[in-house]
Amino acid sequence: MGEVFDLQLINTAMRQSTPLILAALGGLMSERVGVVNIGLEGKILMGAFAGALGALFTGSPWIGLVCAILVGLTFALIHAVATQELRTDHIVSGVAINLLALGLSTYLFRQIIVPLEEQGKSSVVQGFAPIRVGWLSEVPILGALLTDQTWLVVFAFLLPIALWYLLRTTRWGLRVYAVGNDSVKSRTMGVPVKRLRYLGVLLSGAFAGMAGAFLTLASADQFRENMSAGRGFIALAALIFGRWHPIGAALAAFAFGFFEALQMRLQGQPLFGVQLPTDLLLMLPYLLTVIALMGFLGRMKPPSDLGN
Amino acid sequence: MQRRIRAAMVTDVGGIGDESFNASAWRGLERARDQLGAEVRYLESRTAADYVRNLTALARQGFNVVFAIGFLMEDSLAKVAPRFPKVYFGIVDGRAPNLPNCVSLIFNEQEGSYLVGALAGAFTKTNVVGFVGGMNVPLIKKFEYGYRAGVLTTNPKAKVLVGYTGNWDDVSKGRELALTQFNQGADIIYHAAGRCGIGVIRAAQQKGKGYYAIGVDSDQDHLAPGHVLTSMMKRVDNAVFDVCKRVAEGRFKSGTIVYGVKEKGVGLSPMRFTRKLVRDAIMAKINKLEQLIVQGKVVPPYNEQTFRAFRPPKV
Repeated sequence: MGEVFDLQLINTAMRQSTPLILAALGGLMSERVGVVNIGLEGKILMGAFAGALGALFTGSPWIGLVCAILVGLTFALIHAVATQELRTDHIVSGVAINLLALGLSTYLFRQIIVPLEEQGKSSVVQGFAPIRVGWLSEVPILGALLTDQTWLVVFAFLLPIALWYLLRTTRWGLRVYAVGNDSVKSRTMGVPVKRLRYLGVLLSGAFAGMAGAFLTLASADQFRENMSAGRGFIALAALIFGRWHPIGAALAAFAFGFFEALQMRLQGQPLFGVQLPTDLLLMLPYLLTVIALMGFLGRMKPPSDLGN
Repeated sequence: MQRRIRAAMVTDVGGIGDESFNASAWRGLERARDQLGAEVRYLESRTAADYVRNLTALARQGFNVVFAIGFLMEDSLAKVAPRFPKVYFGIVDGRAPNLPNCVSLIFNEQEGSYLVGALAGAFTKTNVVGFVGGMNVPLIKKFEYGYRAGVLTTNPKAKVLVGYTGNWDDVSKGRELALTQFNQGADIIYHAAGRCGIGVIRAAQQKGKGYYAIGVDSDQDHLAPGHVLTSMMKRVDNAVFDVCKRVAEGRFKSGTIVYGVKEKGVGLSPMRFTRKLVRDAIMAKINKLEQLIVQGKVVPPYNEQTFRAFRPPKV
């Protein structure tokens, strides 16, 4: 038992869940104001690409991060204009963004980065260094959890708490809830519905862009085609399982990251003397996340005005 | 006699940028362009639904030889090939339909994997080595069991950690799986996981001195010089080029062509950055095993059954 469950497992799980938490909270900001956002996957992928490109040409992960966020915002703006001004179906716009992002990032990768590699230059970028834990490393549990983590991980774990607080206590937060639940009534009450929706969708782009930047600046340190690998959809599922609540969504994303870390470990070592089959273990994160969350979350209730 | 041919390929969903067998096949066609003056082209498949359409399109456009890259295209090729008897078809890693215009190009990946496994077994300091596969499919099992048999041959005490990422794209997950195996005691990890393997190599590089990855398909040693112990090269490019040459010379042969260690279809990379780290005695052992495979005295296993029956030679 002790060999399977230890703090190293949580340490891995934190990194695995970081991009999921960021993207899920991005989805939350958008869906809370009534805009369905299945384009998270595309924004993560474009964020990952822009992050890598920015860092590759400037040598600075910070500039990479800024590029990732800007590109995330740009793609979010497309979604906002499409859904708010042109009244495009939210799902259709989201799917279009995913397809565009896959095609565009692949094309640009081959046009810009692959030729560099063919000239023998490295496409590995200067990523974020792990935070220096200093005296914190002496603190039990916390020290072990923070070892080898970048600040993006810490940010992703603090963000849900901050968002929860802001949504609950500020005027903006209350208006967000109002718009998501009844945009017509909100408008007649003088709430600037469109402005809130733009802000929500743009925030989703920024967070999804950051999720992408995590992949290229704090994990793989380089871009590869389609490297988001479905994280946008897992994040969306986490958002739904988390009942559109910042803490719930983050917990669901973490649950997935945790089971992912667990199955990776179990592939290499038996549990109670039994080596579980690979295919079962690969399915485990999906299966256990569904079961775990069905148990204590109860009925899902989306914002009533979602998609209108 | 040579004539100017037109040769094309259809990638599987990995695409031309998979840094694996699609990319390698394309290098073969590029060589056909440079050396045989062939007109070359590729079509990428985004989904499995594109296979038949892509193969048909190329055959219609009058290409002399069309390659289907990957076992995923077996069924599609069986549908398309009978309709174009004048076009030659080759399929890499898969069974070709039994037709005079089709050839199947098969690699004995287990033989090359056996050699890198033998190297890993002899070179490990921790007596734990890892394997990271992409999808858990019979093709990748050839890599896994060949590797395990190699480790068993040079280091019967060593433990092999086996993990799969479940896809080919997720670089970040490949890295985490590799870090997990490094934390479980491994000091060398062989990958056969497409782009996920880029993450495995990155993990070895980040762990630093004493940790190594083993690359696959292409010579990946340069991706992290000094941290990629060797690469198990699978010369899809040679196979594709050979078929183009045969077509150009008018001596196409149908059936199955197998590329193993003997045919130089699989084998170790030249180890440009790591050769001096490995003692000559170890390399001599690897060369000896290579000889034994060529002579047919060692037959590396390719699935669980053959692995269980495998008796390692004494070297």
